[in-house]
Amino acid sequence: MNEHSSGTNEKFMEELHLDETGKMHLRSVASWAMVIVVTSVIGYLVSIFQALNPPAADEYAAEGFDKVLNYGNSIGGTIFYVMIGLLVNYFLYRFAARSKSSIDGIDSVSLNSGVRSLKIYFAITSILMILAFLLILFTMTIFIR
Amino acid sequence: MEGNKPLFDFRIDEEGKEELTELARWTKFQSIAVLTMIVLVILFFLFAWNRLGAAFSTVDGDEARSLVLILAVIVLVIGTVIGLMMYFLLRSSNRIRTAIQMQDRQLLNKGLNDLRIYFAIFGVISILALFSNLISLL
Repeated sequence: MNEHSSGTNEKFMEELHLDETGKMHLRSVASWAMVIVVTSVIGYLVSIFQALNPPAADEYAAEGFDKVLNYGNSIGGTIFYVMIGLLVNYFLYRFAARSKSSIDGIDSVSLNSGVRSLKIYFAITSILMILAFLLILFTMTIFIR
Repeated sequence: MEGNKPLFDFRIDEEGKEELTELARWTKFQSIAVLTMIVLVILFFLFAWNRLGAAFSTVDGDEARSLVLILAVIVLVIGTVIGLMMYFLLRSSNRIRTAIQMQDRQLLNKGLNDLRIYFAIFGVISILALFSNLISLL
């Protein structure tokens, strides 16, 4: 009975494996995650460049916008946005790098660490999304009043 | 041949299962939160339709109406794309969690495939956003 129970338990503990298809999907997820990280980092560099070289107010007027619509990119705001973006993308990068290395080296510890990083990434982005949404909703409510 | 399989397959240990379950929980939370936001934005547009026209009072009546219409179409397109992404994220979350509970490898693969589609859409949007950002520099 005990032997049977321990055998079943062992089977239960070791039954879930990631096969070739699963590894292929995970590798693809990691590759796309890396694409997102790279494009985001380039985007942050562009934002910093834009904040350091703001277009003249006349350019906005020439494009048909009122000066009121020219919010511009303040350096402080851009640095804050870039810092949060880098923090979030660091976890995505860690997931991508560790997942790839875990698949190549068949290392479950790296995979666990990668999945943990992805979990943190989703946790941070969820909270930030809710905060941003509340801010947008608040602004929109004021705008239409 | 069948006996060799575990040597080439990747074993997911107890800690890995726990991490994947937690990941599924957060992805589910995010997808439901974002889908709720999309519904709220659509409701906001439906209820504030007339007021939005008045908000653009600096421009002519017809122009204000077309501005609101363009804004609504943009919101609808963005909402559809994000909604589609969240659908895959939610399906991935449900499949991964069930796969861990049922020890189902096929379902785990399907869940990872959904996550792959989510990240692929996200990646394409990121590339497009970067291009539009770079074009704005010129």
